[in-house]
Amino acid sequence: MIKKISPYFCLVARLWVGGLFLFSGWIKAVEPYENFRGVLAQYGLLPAALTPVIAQVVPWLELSAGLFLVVGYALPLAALAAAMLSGSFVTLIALSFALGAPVPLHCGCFGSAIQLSPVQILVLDVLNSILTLTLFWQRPSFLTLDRLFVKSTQA
Amino acid sequence: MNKKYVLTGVLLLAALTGAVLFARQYSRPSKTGAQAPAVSLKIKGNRFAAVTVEIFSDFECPACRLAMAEEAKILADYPEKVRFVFYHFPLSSHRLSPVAHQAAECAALQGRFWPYHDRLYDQQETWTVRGNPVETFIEYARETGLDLDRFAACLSDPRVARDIQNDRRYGDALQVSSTPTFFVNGERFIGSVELAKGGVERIGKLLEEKSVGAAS
Repeated sequence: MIKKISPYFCLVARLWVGGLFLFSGWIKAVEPYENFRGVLAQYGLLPAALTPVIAQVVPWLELSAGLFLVVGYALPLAALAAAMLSGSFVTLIALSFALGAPVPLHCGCFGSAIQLSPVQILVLDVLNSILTLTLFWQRPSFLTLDRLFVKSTQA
Repeated sequence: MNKKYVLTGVLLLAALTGAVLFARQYSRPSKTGAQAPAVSLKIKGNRFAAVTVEIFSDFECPACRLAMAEEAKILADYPEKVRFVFYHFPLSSHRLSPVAHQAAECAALQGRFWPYHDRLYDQQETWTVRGNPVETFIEYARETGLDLDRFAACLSDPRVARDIQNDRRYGDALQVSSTPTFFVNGERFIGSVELAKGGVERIGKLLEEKSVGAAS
C-alpha cells in the first residue's frame, strides 16, 4: 500500500520539475542545436554518432514532459518520461565519474542561460528523479487537466 | 480513451511546437544581422584562404587551451588553405578574463597577438591562480617583445575594452554560448572534439568543392 502524500506537495513537485524541464527544453530548442550537440560531444561515454540525434530529440522530450507535468495532462506518463530523462542524465554523469571518462566543465543542460557543473546537475537530477518517481506512484489529481477529464466523463 | 482527451494532448503539443518555432524566428543567429568587427588584427594563416575558421575563445577557459593543439594541426595539414580569425569571448564566470583579453588585444595592437595568445594559454595554470595577474601579463609582454610603456597604457584604455566587447557582441549575435566555438565558413562546431571530427571534415569538403570548381 502506497502512503498518500499531501496534494500540495505533489503540486509543488509537479510545478518544480515541470518548470525546470520546460525551461531547459525551451532554451535548448530555441538556441542552435549545435550548442547542445557540442556539449554532448564532450562526454567521452556518448558515441559520436548518437550525439546529433540526442541533441535534436532531448529538448523536445523535455518540453513535452515539462508541459504535461505543469498542466497535469497524462501525468503518470509525463512523470515516467521525466524520471527516465533525469535518470539517464544521472547515469551518464555518474558512470563518467566512475570510469574516469571525460565530462564537460558545464553540463549544457540549460544552454547559455545557466551554467551548472556536472556535479551540481547530478544532485539536481537525483532530486528530480525522486520527485518524478514519487509523482508516478502517487498519481496526484489535485489541479490537473486529467482530473477535469475524469469529472467530465463521470458527469 | 476519449477523443477530447487525445485532442487536448495534440493541441498542447501543437501550441508548444508553434511557440518554439515562433521564438526561433526571432532568435536565430544570422550572419547578416551580426556585425563582425570590420578589421581584425587577429588572423593566422593565409589571409586570402578559401576557408575561414572563426574562433570564439576565452583565455581563462581550459577547453580553449586544449583546442590549441587541434588548431595547430589544421594549420599544419592545410597550409595556405585555411585562415583562423580570433574573436574575444570572455565568459562572465571567469574573473580574470577581462584583463587577460585586454592584455591580448594590446599585444594585437603591436602586431604580436598570436605569440601573446600562445603565452596566455601555455601559462594559463600560472596566471589564473594569481589574485592580480597584471604584473604577470606585463612580464609576458616583455618576453613577447612588446613596447612595455605602450602596453601598460593600453591595459586601461577603454577603447580597447570596447573592441573586446564588440567581439563579444558579435558572438552573442551568433548565439555562441560556450567556448571554444568555431565557425568553419559559417558552420558551427563546439569544442576541440567537434572541430577535430566535423570541422576537419567540413574543411576537407570545402577545399574539395573549391578544387572541383576550379577544374571545371
